Amino acid sequence: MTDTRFVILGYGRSGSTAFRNLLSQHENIQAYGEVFRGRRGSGGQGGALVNGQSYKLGEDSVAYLENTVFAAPNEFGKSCIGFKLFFYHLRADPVSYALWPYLIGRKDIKVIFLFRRNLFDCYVSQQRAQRSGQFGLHKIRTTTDAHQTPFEIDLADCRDFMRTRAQVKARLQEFFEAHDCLTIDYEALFAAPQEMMATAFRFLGEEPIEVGVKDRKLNRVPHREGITNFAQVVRSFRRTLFEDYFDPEDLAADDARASS
Amino acid sequence: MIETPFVILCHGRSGSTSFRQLLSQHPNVQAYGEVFRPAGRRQPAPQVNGGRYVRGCDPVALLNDAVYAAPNEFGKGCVGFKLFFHHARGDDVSYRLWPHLQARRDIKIVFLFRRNLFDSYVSLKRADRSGQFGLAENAGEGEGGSEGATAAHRAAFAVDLADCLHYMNGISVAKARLQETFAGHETAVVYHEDLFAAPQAELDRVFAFLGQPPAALKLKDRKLNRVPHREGIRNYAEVAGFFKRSYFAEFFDYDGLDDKEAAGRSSAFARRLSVLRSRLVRLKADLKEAGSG
Repeated sequence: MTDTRFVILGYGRSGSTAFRNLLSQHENIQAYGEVFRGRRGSGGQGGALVNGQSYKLGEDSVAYLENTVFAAPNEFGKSCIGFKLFFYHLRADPVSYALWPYLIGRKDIKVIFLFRRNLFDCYVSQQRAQRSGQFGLHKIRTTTDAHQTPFEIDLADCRDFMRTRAQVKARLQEFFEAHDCLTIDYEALFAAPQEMMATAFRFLGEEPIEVGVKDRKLNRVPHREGITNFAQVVRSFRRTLFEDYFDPEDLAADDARASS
Repeated sequence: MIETPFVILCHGRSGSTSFRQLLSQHPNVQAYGEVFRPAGRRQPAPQVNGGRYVRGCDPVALLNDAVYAAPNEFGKGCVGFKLFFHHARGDDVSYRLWPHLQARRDIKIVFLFRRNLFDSYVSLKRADRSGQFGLAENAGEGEGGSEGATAAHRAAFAVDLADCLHYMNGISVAKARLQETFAGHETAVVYHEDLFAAPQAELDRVFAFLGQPPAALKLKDRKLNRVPHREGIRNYAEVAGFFKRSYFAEFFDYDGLDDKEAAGRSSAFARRLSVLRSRLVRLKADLKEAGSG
């Protein structure tokens, strides 16, 4: 049993809900969700519930972290406690923002980075979720038709999305380089969940356990079928820093189209 | 093939010319310049070991038959060159270089970055404005350095927010992605700031990475601009405020800035609004100029 504090840093559509659920299967680990999610005003959803409370933007984020989120043992009697924090959380006002420099200064907090290597997959996942309103398989067990419907990609929007996330990864790793860090890729997590989770448990100072893994993958439509302008998308990312996100087969098909 | 091939992956205004000159002072290391510089730039690509990169030529053949060919023209066994992120991407033929480099795990990679990308942006703008991209070979010797920068290079100017954001985004994306795509190679990272603070120590570290013994270097002060941003950037408070609470905030110094001006526009929406506003101001100025012309 350890008395450990940690944070999962990353962005949406990287499997972070599945990851926090897997972590929380451990008897001493509690990984809360997006505790600091939210927008100002009444429109946005508040932060994830911790001990019956929810954070509202503009409140003292550091005090909330220490007194509510990190209070141990927590509501479930666990003392290895963490939460998900997305890169854009808590940046709207100086009071909320105070958590970022605080976390960077608190070197005893362990940091788990969770990133998706293929940011094009990440973008498609986000677009499908926004279109269908279906962000996971938690409530209904099947993928809706709306989630699988073919759609057209806005190239500028897609480029912007991938650029932002690529640099978020680099910047966050720079900010927290003095911390005890572990980086987990979405792709590796889903390819070998037991192995990756054992690494994560050990990193948090806990004995690894065998986790119960459910197949949570939402979309299974290949991009070439599910994206109406896929050929155009592939062409526009040729020779860029994002070319490797595309399947060699799709790149070969693009070559064939270009030479004909 | 020479025994130790390497590449310096870097961006402009990162001190790469000084770096390659320092590296090449080593008796067994030759670091060439922008061997794959696209045609039509200020200068053609440099001559390398009997070859030169021209439009349409096979970059992989040039790499293996000239750049890395043994014997090297200077008799050195550890040979590399500077490659900017945007080089060899203009067409399918030139682009062959990138997958080739990614597949060649025997090539050592030296990344050279500037930590503070705002400094890098300001340096680029000053060079673009003055046409002065570096100090002449003999400048700065015994005269304290700053005399080398022309008045045009030191003149105060206003930063275009959208352009600056675009530049810093571009470099940080390239930095992140290239480190990912070359993760399977032997790599070393050098930062401009460390290189200029402790050149001998940094170079010895790189020589060791390249499998070479240390070498004593002749060092010169090569710094061009010495004007502090607060004096040299007319809208510094606005620029710093624009990036406040963004993940570029650490590039700026907020001490004593006017709170109102540097209040910070942190949300993506507010940032976009600032960009649009600055474009509008520029457009109005252009219109006024066109009208009076």
